[in-house]
Amino acid sequence: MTATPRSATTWLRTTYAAGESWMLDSRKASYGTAVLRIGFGLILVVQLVAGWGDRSLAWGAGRSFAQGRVDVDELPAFLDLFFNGSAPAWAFDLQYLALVALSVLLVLGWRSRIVIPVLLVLYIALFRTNPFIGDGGIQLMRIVLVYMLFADTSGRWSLDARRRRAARASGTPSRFASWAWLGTLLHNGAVLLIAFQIFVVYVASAMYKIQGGMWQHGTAIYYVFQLDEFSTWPQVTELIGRSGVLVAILSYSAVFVQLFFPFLLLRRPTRILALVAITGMHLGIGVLMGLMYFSMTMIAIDAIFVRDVTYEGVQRRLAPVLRRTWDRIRRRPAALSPDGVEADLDGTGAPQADEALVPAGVSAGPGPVEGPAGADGPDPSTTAPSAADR
Amino acid sequence: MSTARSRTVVQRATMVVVVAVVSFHMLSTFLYAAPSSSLSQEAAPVTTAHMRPLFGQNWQIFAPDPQSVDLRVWVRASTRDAEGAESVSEWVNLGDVFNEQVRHQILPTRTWRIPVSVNRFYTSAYGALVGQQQAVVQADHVASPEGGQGRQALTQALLGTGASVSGIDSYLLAEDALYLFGTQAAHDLWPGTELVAIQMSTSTQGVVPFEQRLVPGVQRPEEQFTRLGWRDPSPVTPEARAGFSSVFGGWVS
Repeated sequence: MTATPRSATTWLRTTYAAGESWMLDSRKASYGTAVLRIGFGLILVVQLVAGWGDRSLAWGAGRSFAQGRVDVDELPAFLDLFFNGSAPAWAFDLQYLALVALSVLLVLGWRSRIVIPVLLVLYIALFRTNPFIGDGGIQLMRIVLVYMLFADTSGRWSLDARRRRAARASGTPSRFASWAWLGTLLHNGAVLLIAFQIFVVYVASAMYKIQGGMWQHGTAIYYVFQLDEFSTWPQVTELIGRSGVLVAILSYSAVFVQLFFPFLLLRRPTRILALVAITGMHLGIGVLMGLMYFSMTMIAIDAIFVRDVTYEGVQRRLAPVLRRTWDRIRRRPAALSPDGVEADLDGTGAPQADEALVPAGVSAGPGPVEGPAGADGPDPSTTAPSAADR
Repeated sequence: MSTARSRTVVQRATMVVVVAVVSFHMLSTFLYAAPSSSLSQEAAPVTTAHMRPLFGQNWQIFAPDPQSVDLRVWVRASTRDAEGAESVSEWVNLGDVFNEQVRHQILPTRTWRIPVSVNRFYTSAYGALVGQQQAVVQADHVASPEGGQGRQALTQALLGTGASVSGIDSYLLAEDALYLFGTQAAHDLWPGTELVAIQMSTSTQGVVPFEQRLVPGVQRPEEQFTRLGWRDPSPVTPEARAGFSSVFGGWVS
């Protein structure tokens, strides 16, 4: 009679202990959040540079037709200080370039705790100036940037990480060392929120889709491709549209991959399937429908589901190659490494090379996924946290 | 790094708080973003206050069915040339101009979505008009020779239909955006002329149904226009005109 309550109590106790350990013992998805940071930075740099020629119509004085909507939006009025439509063009350009510079700093992982909040304010300020330009990608990046305020996104592959290593090597204790547990706790909370947010994106949009006849009958993709708006590559989309079978397969895949995404992540083989399929879907949408920034935003977020050991494996294989390339570029013997790298036991290459490594890892796709991601329970193989945890 | 034995009460209490906040936000996010249910309606006062504007989101993407009509914005202008001769231009589909800029682009600029968004924004305000109000906005309201302004005439006419002031304001927010967009485009489309009046039209056109897509010679359904009346050109500041022209002017020249 007492066996059942006792085992239930034991179960509760071990589950609680596992949860507590997950939240407090190490920073989860430490590489994944770094890839997310680098990815967001690159997406912003690329779209701001690509949009430079159109900036005055999209966000500058030329978007006066959108001002009426800006005046009645719900965002705080202090944002009017930035990218103000009646400010002189040079002032607008300076702010635009400041956002580009902040995005570069985000890629490099320089003082991320300061850069991310400032970047977030300018990001919201810029994109609010024209409500007629907007898609889910802009909303999603804004939301995830808010979560990133609480995450340690520069624990890996960043100038911050290099600085922390150097400080550790020289024996300088961090001023915040006794608060590292709080950093870890907030980081893990943020990782949970980022993961859950992307689940909501996929599952909610699938819940809406399965109510629709065109998705049920596998013709939805055909209709999307017929619109002027999404005819970036009309020759390709027309060819796809001719094959009813292909249209049905693509339409069903889109719904099912989204609906089942969280559950497919639970085990390694299905996780690889889910990440490959969803990345393929995003790339297809991005190229064929002109929604590349939206798609890249989703892919950057999905990167947190690749486990740290996978990223470490990629780093081990790629770091020597990149270091050799880097040394060749700098025209100096490979034996001479930059300061601090000798003490770098986890195989990180020259930090400058690290930045190049990451996009390569991302574009290689989530192929070498090797185990559960950070978000699915206690993970003893997660590597030691960064210097700030000590 | 902490271990189970070294954790303090403060750490454990903070963790409970963080987990509670995270859980509340997760629940809020789901209820706000998922399709409406009795549960989400019950929770809406709390979730909406919590989510908007910072966490505002909408994932009803191509759903429940993808939109199967093209939404377009058309403009034409009555212009006066240097000799003082007035003429009325052809209709121009602004969506065509914008879409052309992103054809075969992997990393397009974001401006191409503007015409469809302007159509959606205007159409939703137009759809909120009732009774005679749609006929009122389809009629011309331009400056009279006696000096009356077209916009005042439009407002008076809408008040005459019994429309509320707030209703008129929210309609005019959309109409002003539409006509200002059209006026800015018209300055570049018909350069070297003086704009006398602007006329806007929105349109929808369905696509060939899936079942008929392989039928030889099949045509798309006829385009449906909502033609609004002539208006005075919207006031445009020199800075706004220069900013718009530096981009759009290059596309249409």
